[in-house]
Amino acid sequence: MKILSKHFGELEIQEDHIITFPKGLIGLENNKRYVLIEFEENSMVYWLQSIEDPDLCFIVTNPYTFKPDYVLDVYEDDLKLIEMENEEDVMVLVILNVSLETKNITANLLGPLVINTKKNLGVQAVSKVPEYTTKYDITNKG
Amino acid sequence: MLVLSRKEEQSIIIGDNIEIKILAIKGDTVKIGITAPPELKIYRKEVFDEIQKANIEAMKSSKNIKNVILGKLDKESKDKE
Repeated sequence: MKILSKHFGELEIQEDHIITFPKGLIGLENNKRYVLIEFEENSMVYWLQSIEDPDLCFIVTNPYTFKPDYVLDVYEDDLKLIEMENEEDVMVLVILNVSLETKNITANLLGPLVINTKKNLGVQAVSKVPEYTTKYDITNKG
Repeated sequence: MLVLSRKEEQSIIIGDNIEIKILAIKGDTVKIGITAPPELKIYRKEVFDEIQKANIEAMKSSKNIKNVILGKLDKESKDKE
């Protein structure tokens, strides 16, 4: 399957690499199918690219790279949505906001993306950890 | 929207296993106690709004960055020619 992304040119996407977010992302409920594209080889940073809207993409990373004590404490309903059975099948990613002007990088720890890698199902969960914010500054970390 | 008036210590039942109780009313703040199944998502509306806002901002910033990177790649390939 080929998709057109204005920025990545034409990408060849294998159907089995598509991650379905049954409820979309919070505020972006209409877009449900995404792919992860490595930012650079072995970088742990990815583009989460919508395959439905070329303009819709996010920069995401594994939170443990900059916050080793990150706790995934989310609602069971969210985990049910991605049919999670084994913790080993779970990939946790957080969305980064990189400012071109200030070069500041913040991570959204409040709304982590939880992906069942076996079933290619994802959800933007809501963290129950009260101190997590959507703007955790990681500019000088990791 | 269903509107019900409640006093302190009074409750509302939703479905078979959700109870919402008014614990205290002080000034402009109402303290609410919720008994519900643990798997049910319950959070302040601001949390949802915050994540939504963060998603929109992140979407805009990553789009800009992608444009910059592709602009550079474009330039590099032109310089080689």
